[in-house]
Amino acid sequence: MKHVRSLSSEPPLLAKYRANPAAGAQRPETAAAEVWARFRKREPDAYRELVEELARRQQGLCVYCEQRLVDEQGVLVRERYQVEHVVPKTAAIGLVLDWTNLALACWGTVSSGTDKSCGAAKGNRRLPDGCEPRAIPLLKPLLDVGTNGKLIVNHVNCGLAGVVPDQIETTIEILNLDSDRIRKPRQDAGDAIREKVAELMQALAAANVAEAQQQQAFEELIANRLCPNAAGSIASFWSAERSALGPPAEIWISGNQGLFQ
Amino acid sequence: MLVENVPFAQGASGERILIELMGANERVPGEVTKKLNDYIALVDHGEGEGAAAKALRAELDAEIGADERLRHADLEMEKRRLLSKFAGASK
Repeated sequence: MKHVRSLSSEPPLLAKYRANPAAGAQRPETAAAEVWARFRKREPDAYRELVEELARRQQGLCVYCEQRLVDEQGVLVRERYQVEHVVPKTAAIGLVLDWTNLALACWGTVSSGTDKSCGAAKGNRRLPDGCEPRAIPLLKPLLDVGTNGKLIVNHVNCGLAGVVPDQIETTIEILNLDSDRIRKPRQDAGDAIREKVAELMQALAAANVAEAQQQQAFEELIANRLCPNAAGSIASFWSAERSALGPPAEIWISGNQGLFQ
Repeated sequence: MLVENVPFAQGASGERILIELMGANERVPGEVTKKLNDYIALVDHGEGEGAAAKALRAELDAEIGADERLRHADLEMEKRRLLSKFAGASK
């Protein structure tokens, strides 16, 4: 889980729909599921506009686990995504169609329906204050990814951000982000980067190039791995690659913040 | 379970299908798994060359030998050594 860009403005077709009293945006919380289902059924163009804009802002990844929801061209893959109400839509009147409360998440489960994660695991619970991905900082990440793919709370960075580390632990538990189903591919992503780094370093050592050139070559590897592609999407389990690339990746991200904010 | 309905199932390894689709654990829980996790945690905290890590590693080498996770722990330590010479690298 990393910093995620929220929508910068309300998608026009959603705004138009929500302004119509018949949309039921202000109906009681108990009707939220019905209001949302009606929106999806009656306004396919508005729903499509919404999910495409969310995917673009989130650079193609699930808001929580960082699984890729789009193909190489940035097109959403069917049956891989759903709209997530960050604060449960049943928590208060108006949240169901509130664009500031919407994000894009994976399905959070596979066909068996067991081992849920992300929105599917969270259900109607709320995440601790300051712990949702749109609120956490891009730089000095609150979570690192360990060599075994497990999430590690960064206590120093939590302190800098004014976030209580236990609340980040609670967030991981609520979203079940260390489920083996997610942890294993996260581990694989980090493994692949470590292999690439080792190969690069061995090649550079064999070529006997100067340290400055070694650093430049490593920075090119970082940019190649972390930069959005032509469609604006970033790599699945981006944070695992970031952690595996180590401190130089943090320097690169700091110098290229505009790509992610 | 009908794994063929899942988009990435075709061509996936048996390991991925077991873990990501069928909910199996990557490792059997137990003492050795705990020891491995403790060792990896030390490596991730930059303490892979410390006495505690070395003691754990000696036990793990005897118990699980050439395990892939031990190889990646070695790669992680090597990477940290190599990167520490670059300016600004502090981890």
